[in-house]
Amino acid sequence: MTEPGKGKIQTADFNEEALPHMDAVFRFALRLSGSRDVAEDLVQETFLRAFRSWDKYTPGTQCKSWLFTICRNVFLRQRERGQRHDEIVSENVDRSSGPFEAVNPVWVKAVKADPEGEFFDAIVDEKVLQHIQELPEDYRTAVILSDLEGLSYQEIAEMTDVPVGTVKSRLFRGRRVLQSALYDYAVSMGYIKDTSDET
Amino acid sequence: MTFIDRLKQLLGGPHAPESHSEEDDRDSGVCKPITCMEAMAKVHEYLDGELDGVPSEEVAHHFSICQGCYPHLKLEERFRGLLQRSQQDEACPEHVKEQVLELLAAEASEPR
Repeated sequence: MTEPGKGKIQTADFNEEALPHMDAVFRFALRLSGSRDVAEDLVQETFLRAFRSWDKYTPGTQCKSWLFTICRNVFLRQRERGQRHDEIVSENVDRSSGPFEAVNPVWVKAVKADPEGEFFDAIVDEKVLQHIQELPEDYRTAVILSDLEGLSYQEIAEMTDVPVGTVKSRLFRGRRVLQSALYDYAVSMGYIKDTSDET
Repeated sequence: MTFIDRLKQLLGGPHAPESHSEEDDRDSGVCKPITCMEAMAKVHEYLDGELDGVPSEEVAHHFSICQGCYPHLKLEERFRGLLQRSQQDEACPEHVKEQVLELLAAEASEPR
């Protein structure tokens, strides 16, 4: 038998704590999936699941992170179901696995031509989003959560169920890949002069 | 400068090491000097406010006095600014919000 009034209290708490994060969840879903249609579905599924498991949420804790976790799990399950085997293999093959240097080689080139980084102003938002979308999922998630949503390493580690060291590594690699892609785009568009051949 | 000193300098990093010296850092008495390589390796953690094992002041001090490393910090900051800019004012569409509210109302009204 249902406790009288419990449902109303639950709904009120949910409305107060979870619903204000709908914009953030939508942004996260959009960056994760790269598709507005998919993001809209993800938002609906995320909030429905969150509502159903609201009793597992500890009031006053990181509600936004909790919602992001649900959203990512839904996204990964959907992707797993819809993705062909060759696409999964392709993503694995494209990943960088070698060590990165402390000094960013992209910035070494950029500093010669545009030390103030003014070329960034010319890059349109759509290109940024496109290149974020092209990152492998675990790099993409780390970059979105840290650089766009401002979550701490610890929060990202808990959300993605990996050690903090792995979060740092994914962020480092994800940013480097993204920086390299955006720099190459800027060079191809003539926003910055290619200094690769200069010594 | 001896050949060995020059070699050490080159191995320490490619950034204008002439821009400051460790002696200058020690004279300043503000922070323990860190090398260009150490500063570069910590730039992400520094900007993320997540430095572990190195005081933020030491990294900040290095970037403030090293003309070779400073542009790298600025580029990293500009890159982050670009990411932030790319998602400004991105709100969940109203029709999606309404659909979510309808779904939740239907869910709440279902007998458990």
